[in-house]
Amino acid sequence: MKRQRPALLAILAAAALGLGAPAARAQPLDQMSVLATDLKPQPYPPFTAVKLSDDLWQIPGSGSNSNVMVLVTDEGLILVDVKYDYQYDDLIKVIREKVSTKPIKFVIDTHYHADHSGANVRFLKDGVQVISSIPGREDILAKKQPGAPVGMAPANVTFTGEMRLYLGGKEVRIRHYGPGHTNSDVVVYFPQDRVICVGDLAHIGDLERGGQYPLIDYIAGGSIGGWIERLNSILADYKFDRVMSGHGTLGTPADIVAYRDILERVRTDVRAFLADGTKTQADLRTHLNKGPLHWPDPGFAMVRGLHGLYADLKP
Amino acid sequence: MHNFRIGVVKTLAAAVAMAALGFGTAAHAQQGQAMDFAKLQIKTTKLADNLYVMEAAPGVGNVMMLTGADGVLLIDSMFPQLHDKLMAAIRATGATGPVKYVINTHLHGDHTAGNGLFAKDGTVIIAQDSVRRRMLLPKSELTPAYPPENVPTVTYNDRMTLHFDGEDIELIHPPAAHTDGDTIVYFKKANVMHVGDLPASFRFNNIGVNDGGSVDGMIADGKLVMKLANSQTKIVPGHLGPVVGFKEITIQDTMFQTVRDRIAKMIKQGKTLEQIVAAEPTKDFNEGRLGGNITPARWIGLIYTDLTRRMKK
Ligand SMILES: [Zn+2]
Ligand SMILES: [Zn+2]
Ligand SMILES: [Zn+2]
Repeated sequence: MKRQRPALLAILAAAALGLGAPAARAQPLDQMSVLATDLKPQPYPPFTAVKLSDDLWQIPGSGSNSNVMVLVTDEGLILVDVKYDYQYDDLIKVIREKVSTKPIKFVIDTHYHADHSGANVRFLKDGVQVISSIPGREDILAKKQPGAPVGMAPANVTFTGEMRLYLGGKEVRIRHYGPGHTNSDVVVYFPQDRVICVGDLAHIGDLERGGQYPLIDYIAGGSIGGWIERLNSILADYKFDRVMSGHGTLGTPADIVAYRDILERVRTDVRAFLADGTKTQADLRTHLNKGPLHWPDPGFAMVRGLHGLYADLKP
Repeated sequence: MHNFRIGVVKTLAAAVAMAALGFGTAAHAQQGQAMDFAKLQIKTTKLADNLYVMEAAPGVGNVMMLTGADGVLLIDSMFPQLHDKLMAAIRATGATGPVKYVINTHLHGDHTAGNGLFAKDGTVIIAQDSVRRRMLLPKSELTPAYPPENVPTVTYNDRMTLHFDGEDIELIHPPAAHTDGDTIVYFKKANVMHVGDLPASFRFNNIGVNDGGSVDGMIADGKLVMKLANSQTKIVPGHLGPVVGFKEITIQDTMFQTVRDRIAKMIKQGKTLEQIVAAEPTKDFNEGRLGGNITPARWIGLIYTDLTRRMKK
């Protein structure tokens, strides 16, 4: 859940109107009305498949849905993220036509948001093992995402720390570090290709259209400090040449550094603004929009992150 | 005389190495030399609506089975020579689904040798990281070779949970005890726990002193099991089941501590392994514990190896 389209702005504005009153304490904005519309089925450009190496294919995000990575092995396929439920048929079609006809053995959810995990329910019906962090399951069961499609299904395999899959001579490492974009984010590493998938822990490319406004999902345990730590850990713990973020284009380790710096800038700026202890949440909202960060208002970063940032960073 | 003594020491050292290898339980039987598999029958015990224990012999790891709409989940896999009998026992309960998972409690052959025949049919084999790492190590004087088809293909390092057949199945990796890749499997809803070869049933447990295990780890994890479980939990031991409780674990724990302390004291007094074996430090515990595959002499050897290695460090 990263992008926002201009068509939504009117709805977002209307939803935000009732929320102008300054609050002494951190208050979540009314997200249900803001986000429900975005998660309903919408038209999307046809899926394509991009070959990264002999065994890795990207099914790029198309509209608001996530990037998907497909690992091809002799014994079957492993998918990282699966887009929305209503896009399942098209996802399968592009994989079958362009990538491989081998059976899909594992699906890995990078986090609980519906644009990444929505189609779990279909893969589970096919008997595929769906893997997420423990919060990745709990957040779906607790319906933490406002307006998420009904009938979402969580992973049937969860873990803490690290899991490794060995299929057809290939290895995949799945790691859950802790809170960041949400509390459920996992990174998926393909050591033989030196490729890492970081889900929405980064947004590479297309920065003007949303990547510079990080969506910190405080409602589901996200944290700006945790997020910065996550990216530092990824840089320290993995040898990778290419990285796929949940949305946007493929990148390199330099893009992870750049995104970490965006988050650092947000934290430094918000901390400095709140430092004298007199500011309200409404003051911060104005500052985020009119100050050096230029967060759109309304916008997803504002709607999901404002109250949490305020509570988290006020002195 | 001197030469004779060296000979005895060498023989004992070899015996210790063999015991550490799990000869008689794991490596030996893995090649099918120690057990007459044709004679073995599988005994099935029902623990809950959809949960069973399957036992074949003291030297064969106890298998647990969960069955339901999603299929069959097994803990440990016996030996390939018992595969058909195990499958027949599974089907005899009325379970019709495919065997989707085998979870290994640890790497020893008496628990994993049957993996390959399941994996061939598409079963996912799950274990803690160290199980895979150690099974892939080259065969050495102290560790046997593990056939590649038995190596787990899904591993975890800390905890993992499966949601399967309406049950929540927790895989818990405790601090190193029997090996450094042990898994405790807890069926939360049924309140049943398979503890692999951690202290549970009355026997002299093998201690995987060449697989990262230790007597102190065994003592600590026996206590840990009683924290993770509750007094109502049905605890399935790796051997000699089908079910024990806190009472048996507490008694085993006392036995482990008492014998460890006796052996440690004799080592400090400068006693040799054969002198310690001759002193029979397990004597008052032998009754009721000779049904397993590890004799008191072997068990003393394992503890001696573990303690003397630690003292050297
Ligand atoms: Zn997201
Ligand atoms: Zn055993
Ligand atoms: Zn064992």
